[in-house]
Amino acid sequence: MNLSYIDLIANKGDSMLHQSSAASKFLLTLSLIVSIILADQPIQLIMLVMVLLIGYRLANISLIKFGHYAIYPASFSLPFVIFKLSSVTTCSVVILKAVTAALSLLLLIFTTPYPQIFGLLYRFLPGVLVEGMFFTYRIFFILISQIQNLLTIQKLRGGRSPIRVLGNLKNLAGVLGVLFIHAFDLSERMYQIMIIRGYTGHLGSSQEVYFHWRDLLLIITGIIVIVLVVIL
Amino acid sequence: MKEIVHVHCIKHIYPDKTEVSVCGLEFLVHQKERIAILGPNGAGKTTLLKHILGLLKPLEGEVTVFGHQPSKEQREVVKKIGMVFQNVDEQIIGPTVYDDIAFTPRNYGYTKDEIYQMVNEVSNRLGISHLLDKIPHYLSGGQKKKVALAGAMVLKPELLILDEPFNGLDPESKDEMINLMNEINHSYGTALLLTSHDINLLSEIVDKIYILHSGKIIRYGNVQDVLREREFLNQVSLRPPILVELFSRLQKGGIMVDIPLTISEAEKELMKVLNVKREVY
Repeated sequence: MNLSYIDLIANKGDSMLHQSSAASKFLLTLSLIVSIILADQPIQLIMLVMVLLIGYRLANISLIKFGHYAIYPASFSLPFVIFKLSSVTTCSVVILKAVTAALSLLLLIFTTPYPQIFGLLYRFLPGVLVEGMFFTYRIFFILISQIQNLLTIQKLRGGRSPIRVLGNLKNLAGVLGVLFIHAFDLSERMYQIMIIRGYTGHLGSSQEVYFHWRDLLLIITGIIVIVLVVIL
Repeated sequence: MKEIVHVHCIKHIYPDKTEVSVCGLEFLVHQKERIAILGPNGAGKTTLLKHILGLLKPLEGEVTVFGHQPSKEQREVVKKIGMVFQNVDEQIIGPTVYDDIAFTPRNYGYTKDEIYQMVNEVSNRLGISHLLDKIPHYLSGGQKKKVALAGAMVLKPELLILDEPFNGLDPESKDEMINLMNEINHSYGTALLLTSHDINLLSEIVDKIYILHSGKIIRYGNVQDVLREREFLNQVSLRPPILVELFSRLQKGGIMVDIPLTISEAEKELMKVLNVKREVY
C-alpha cells in the first residue's frame, strides 16, 4: 500500500471533505461502521456503497486508482464464504460488509492529515498508545525511503532477475534483514534524540477540535445513514 | 569566560569491542565560543559528542558539562544544550513544525502560552514562521534543517551542538545556515560546537578548532592559524581549504602573497599582487 501517496493526498487535498474537521469525519466513519454492523441485507449495504461512492466523488479520489485497496478485505472474507456454503444473499452480505468497512476507513484516511487523526485520538486514548502509533507512522516514512534505496541497489547490482524466482526471494530476504537492522539502529538513535530533547512521556499536539457548517452536514449524513439502514 | 565543557582523556568500548579513546590535549569549550572539531572518519568525533550529551559513559577519563557529569545527571545537562543531528529527519518528531519546536518546552512543563511565545520567537528569528502548520516530511532539506535548529534553540540553550550541519545542503542553504548560526551566537550568546568536513566554510563560522586523529586531540588553535597549516592538515588526512592550497602553491612559485581563508581576503591579496605587477610593468 502506498502510504506516503495516501498521506500526500490527505495533506494536499482541498475538497469539501478535506476541509471538514477530523472529528466530524471520524463521526461519519463511526456511523458508517455502525450501519455496516447493523446491516443484514444486500440492499442496505449497496445503499452504503452508494453513500461512500458519493463521498469519494466529493473528495476527488479516484476509485479506479485506489479502489483495489478495498478488494483485499473482500479476498480475505472469501474463504469464510466458501467454507460456510451459505445462500448467495449471506455470501454477498459478508463480502459487501468487508468492502464497505474498508472503503469507509480509506475515505477517512484519504481525507484527514495524520496530525489531525492523532490530535483527535489523544482525546480518548491513552497518550502512550497514541504516541506509539505516531512514532510508528513517522518512522515508516524514513524506512520507506530506505527500502526503496535498498531495492534499487539490489536491482542495479543484478539481484533481481525475471527467471530466478528462488534467487530473487533469497535476495529479498537479505534486503529485509538489512532493513530490520536499519530499523533497529534507527529506533535506538531516535530514542537517544528524544532523551536529548527532554522527552518525559508526552509528545502533545496543537491540533484543536473545531466545527464548521460542513461538519454538521457530515454528522447529519451519518445519522441519516444509520436511520435508513434500520428502516430498510 | 566561564568554562562549560571539559573533557579529559576519555575511553569507551562499543558493544562490538571497538575501542575509541579521545585523549591528548584537554577539550574545553567556554561560554559564547565558536568551536569546530575536525578529523577524518573514525577519529572519535561522534564518540566525543555522545559523551558530552551523556549518551555514553566513559570507561576512563572525565567529562564535565556545566559542572555536571552528563552520564549521571543527563537531564540537568541536556536542558542547557541544543543539538542538531546529521540526519534531521530522525530528529523531527512532532506531527507539525509547531509541535516539533514545542516538543522540548512541553516536556519541561512550560505553560501553553509560554510555549506559544517561545515557538513564535524562535521561528521568527530563524525565518520559518510560515512553516509552523506544515507537516515535517514534506519540507525541503534546508527547511528541515532550520526546523531542527529551531527545535534545538527554543529554550535558548547555552551550548548548541551541530553534527555535520552542512550535510546535504545546497550552496544557498549553506550560506543561510552560516548566517543563522552566527546570528544565534551573536544574539543569544550561545556557544557553538560543530563537526564538519566542509573545511572551506569553517573560517566563516568558528573561532577555534580542535583536530582529532586516531583518538587523540592533536591540535587546538585559532581557525586562522590551524587552517593555514597545509602540511599538517595533509598529514592528518584532512584537505586544507582550497584557497590555502592555491595560495601556498603561489608562494612556493615565488609569488609573495599571504595565505587567505576567505574569498574577500583572497581578493585583496590578488589585487595587491596585480597592483605590484602593474607598477613593475
